[in-house]
Amino acid sequence: MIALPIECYSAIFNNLQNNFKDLFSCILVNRQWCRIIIPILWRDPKKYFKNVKLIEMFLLTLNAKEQALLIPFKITLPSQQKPLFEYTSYITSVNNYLYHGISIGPEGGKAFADALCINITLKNLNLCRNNLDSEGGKALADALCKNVTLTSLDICANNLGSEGGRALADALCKNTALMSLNLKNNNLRSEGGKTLADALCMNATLTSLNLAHNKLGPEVGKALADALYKNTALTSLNLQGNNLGSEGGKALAYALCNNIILTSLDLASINLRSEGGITLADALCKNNTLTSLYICNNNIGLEGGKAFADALRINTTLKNLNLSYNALKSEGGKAFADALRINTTLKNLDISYNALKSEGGKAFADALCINTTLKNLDLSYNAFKSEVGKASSQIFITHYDYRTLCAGRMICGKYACFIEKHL
Amino acid sequence: VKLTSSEGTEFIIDRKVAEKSVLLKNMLEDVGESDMAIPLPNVTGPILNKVIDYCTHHRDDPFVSQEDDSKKVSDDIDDWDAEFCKVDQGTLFELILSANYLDIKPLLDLTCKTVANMIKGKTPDEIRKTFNITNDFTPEEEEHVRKENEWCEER
Repeated sequence: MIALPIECYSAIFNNLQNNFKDLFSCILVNRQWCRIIIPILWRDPKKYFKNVKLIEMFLLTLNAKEQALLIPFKITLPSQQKPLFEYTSYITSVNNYLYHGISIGPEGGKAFADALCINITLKNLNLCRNNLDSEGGKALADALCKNVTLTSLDICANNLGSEGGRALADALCKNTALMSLNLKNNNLRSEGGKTLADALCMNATLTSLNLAHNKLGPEVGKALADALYKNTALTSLNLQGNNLGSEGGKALAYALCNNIILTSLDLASINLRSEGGITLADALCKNNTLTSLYICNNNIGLEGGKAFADALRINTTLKNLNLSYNALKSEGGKAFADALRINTTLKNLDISYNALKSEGGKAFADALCINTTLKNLDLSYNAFKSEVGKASSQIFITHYDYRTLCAGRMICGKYACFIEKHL
Repeated sequence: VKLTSSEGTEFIIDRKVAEKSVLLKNMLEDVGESDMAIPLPNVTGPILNKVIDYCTHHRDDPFVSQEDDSKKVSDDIDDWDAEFCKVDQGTLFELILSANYLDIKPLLDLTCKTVANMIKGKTPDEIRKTFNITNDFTPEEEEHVRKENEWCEER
């Protein structure tokens, strides 16, 4: 075998990442392969975190001070000689498998925080559902002020509360490494949400923030809108399940008119109603960066639906739009079907659960004879032929597949027939 | 655009084809249009021929950013590419070297993927045989490496 530069070897072996068995065979080939592959093999041990042999290796790499910490737990340390490599220094991801089934609590959170203050290799940390509480959250926030390598932190469902939220907000003003933060379901409340929104005015590295289900009120919507005028990094924001209301939604909509960074916005179940829906739809006429928008379950109704349909005639960037559970009715559905005759960018549209009747379905069938860009249209759980009771069968209409079956004008008739038959 | 291989053979290709190589693209941007041939002392004629074949076939592919790339699954090699990679091992490794030197990311990915697929499912011994590699571990070392990493053999 001819000699390759190290970067070529890495490019080859990176293809085998997660194929642990193959990587294991490769490290035994010769010394050179071993040196190159060990860091890849140990990068992200995933499910093996529970493996006894792996845990033994972890224990072997502890220094005397760390070993002393384990004395109270009566853990017998393995007595092998020191390992050949500093294995643990290659780990870049710690996931939930490490403590699967046990909750590490605030104390465990503090231990991780201590480690984060000195660790310089870890990139991804998942501490979901661990009862960290505000104490653990604060400790992690303090660590984030010092840490410079962690890029992704998932601490959803930890009851961090508004205090934990405030501490993390402070940290976001200082940290310059974190790119993704998941704070879903943490009872941050409006107080915590507002401080985080303010932090976004300062932070210029975070690209993805999940604040879903945090009891945030309309004022947080306004604070986040203000932040979106100033922030230059955030591309994905999830606010699902917060009661932002039409006021919060409107504020965000105005911000979207000027924002050129955000590409994905999840506003599902935030109680927009038709007023918020119309303003947001108007914003889509001006915004040209957003590619995904989730508005399901917002009761935007026929008026809101029509506004979105009109927006789709003008907008040329949106690829994914979810408007399920919005009581659009047949008339709203028809407006969308008509818009699809003009729109050439949308790829996925979800109009399920919208009380469309058969005539709404037919309008889509006709529109799809003209539209060639839409790939998936979800019309399931609508009232097509509800009298037969087939409304509940979930069907995804895959435009492409169907297109290959029929040709030309035939599509119309068959498509309509298809819908009649299956929905 | 004129290129010369290591033996001095001259190749004339479209600028668009040449620009698949980030190295050549940057060079062309720096010097602008010129009749001077660009010497490629690290690439032999037959290999350069293959590289040009690849770049010509993929000339209209959109430029893939690092970000999109990470999402791709490792097994998706299309028919043309698979056929392209049906070459002897020496050529395959020469292609990797050239793709790396000329900075043609999609070609480097393809050839590396092909080698990775050759490794899959083989024992260390079979891998050594396939690539003609000598085992330079001492028996003790080999045993240590095996023991310290045997966690990944289990389910």
